[in-house]
Amino acid sequence: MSRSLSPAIVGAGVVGLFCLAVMIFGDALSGHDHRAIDLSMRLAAPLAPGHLLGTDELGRDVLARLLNGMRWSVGSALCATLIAFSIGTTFGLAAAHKGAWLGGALKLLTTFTQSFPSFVMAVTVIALLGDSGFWAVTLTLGLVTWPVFSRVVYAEASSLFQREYVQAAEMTGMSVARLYAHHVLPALVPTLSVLVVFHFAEMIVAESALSFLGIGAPLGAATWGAMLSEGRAFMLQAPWLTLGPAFAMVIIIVAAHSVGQHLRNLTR
Amino acid sequence: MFSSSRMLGGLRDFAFVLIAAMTVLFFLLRLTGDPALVIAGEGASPAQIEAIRVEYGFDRSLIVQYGQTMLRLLQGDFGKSLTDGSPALGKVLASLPATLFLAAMALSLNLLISLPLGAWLGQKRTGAARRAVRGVLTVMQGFPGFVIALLLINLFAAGLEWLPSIGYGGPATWVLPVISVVSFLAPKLIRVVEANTHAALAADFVRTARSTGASENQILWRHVLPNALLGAVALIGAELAFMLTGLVVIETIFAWPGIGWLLVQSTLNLDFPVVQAVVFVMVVSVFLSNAVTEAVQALLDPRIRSRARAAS
Repeated sequence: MSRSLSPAIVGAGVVGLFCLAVMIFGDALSGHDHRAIDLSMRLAAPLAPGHLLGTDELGRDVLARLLNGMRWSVGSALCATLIAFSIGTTFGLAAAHKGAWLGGALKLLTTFTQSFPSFVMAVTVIALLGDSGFWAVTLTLGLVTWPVFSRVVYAEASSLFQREYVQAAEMTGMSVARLYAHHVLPALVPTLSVLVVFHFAEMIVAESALSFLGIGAPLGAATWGAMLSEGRAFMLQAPWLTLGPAFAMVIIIVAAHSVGQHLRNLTR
Repeated sequence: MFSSSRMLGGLRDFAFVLIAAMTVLFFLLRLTGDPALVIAGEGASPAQIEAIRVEYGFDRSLIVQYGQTMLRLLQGDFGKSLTDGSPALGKVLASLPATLFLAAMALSLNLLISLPLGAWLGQKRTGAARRAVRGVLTVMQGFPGFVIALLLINLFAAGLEWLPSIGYGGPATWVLPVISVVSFLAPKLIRVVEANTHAALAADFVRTARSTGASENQILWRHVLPNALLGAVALIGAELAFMLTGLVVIETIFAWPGIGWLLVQSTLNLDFPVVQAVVFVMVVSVFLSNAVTEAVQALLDPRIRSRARAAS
């Protein structure tokens, strides 16, 4: 595969920059407050004066709500990915380096997370953490999904610790910190970077699915999942209420996937 | 086909996961809500709630209650639904066919689409048609299942009024749920079959077959596809396991009366016995689906078969 910049990766870069702008400025980019109700402008179609993507049943600006939802979803997905990555990588490395029983425990844990419905886990953990806020959702997503990382890291690192150059380094008495910094972690970067990007995309979906079901985001919050759920009542009258968050989500996910694909091609 | 030690190991893991799931579930549920309040319903006096607590044994320590619950589960007693008093396990078993039916239809359609399409894509890297299909797949992979479901309802049920949007009646109600599930499972499977076909075409045994004068068709059907399928079995198994636990949102959107829908309802209603029974059935189904996947892999792959024989 070519190493030059493909249109897909340029597009993904643009989406990434836009995300960054939204994370900083939020709904201010649309010129509206996402909570501002304007009953004289209910269910205005896209391209209505002052409302590029139209308004919802309370006259709230759809673009402003989309941007607010983006801040919430992307922020939550990023943090959840970071949590899953940190726990999963640590556990996977520990299991690969030391301890036969950790490897066995990891296999059981993987089977457990595969068969235990994440919905129940999410609902109960969110209830346990108290208010249905940003961190409750984010922590839950991170804590439920980290075995994905540990499984991959375990598989890769196990074969790594069998390699002669790593064993030689260990035998010469290299400190554990140096061993990891010089020989183990760099070798894991290609796989992990791809995994992180794809996991981020999955977290976007998971977070939106939860808020679609009314779990996670506080009632009435402008998140993509909540917007999709509210838009269901107006599917015929105002399809843009559904299409807006649906395509926002798809654009982010496709962008993340093309970054992942690009990283994969780079490291091959 | 299987060594007995491997089967024992699998059963031991299964028992462990089942006990762990029931334990985690028990404490998670008890820590998040008070079942007595659910049974008593709204507007019950503190005395009534207290009486229910004593009657159901909720006044005893959590550990004692945990022990009792596990003992009852061991005897196959899942208790009664807190909302309507019917047996919890019966409720779940009544919902299971709808989920199995959806999973079976989605699985069949997925295989029908993904295997030929994946094999076709894997034959060559170049060509305008193939590039176009790959582009479509890349975009399709960006669509979450429940978003596809909403868009399909938007288009076919609300807009064109061709199909019913929700429910579980005749064939017309099956179309949208099945398409929603397949459209997000298929792209992954197509990609894997494509990659495996491509790899198999470059393998030594294909070169050997070609040198003996086998036709391209023979090579594809006898040598390439069986190998490509082999690599895809693991993913198909994972997708099946996912469908047995993960169709929560799709079932909710279509009001499909399966175990995913039941799980959402019972969790939100704090109907503990039903949640427990659903999770139990899900853990068992995932185990069975994994066991079937392994058996199919062994059946298809002589290498796994001989390894298993050597181990026993």
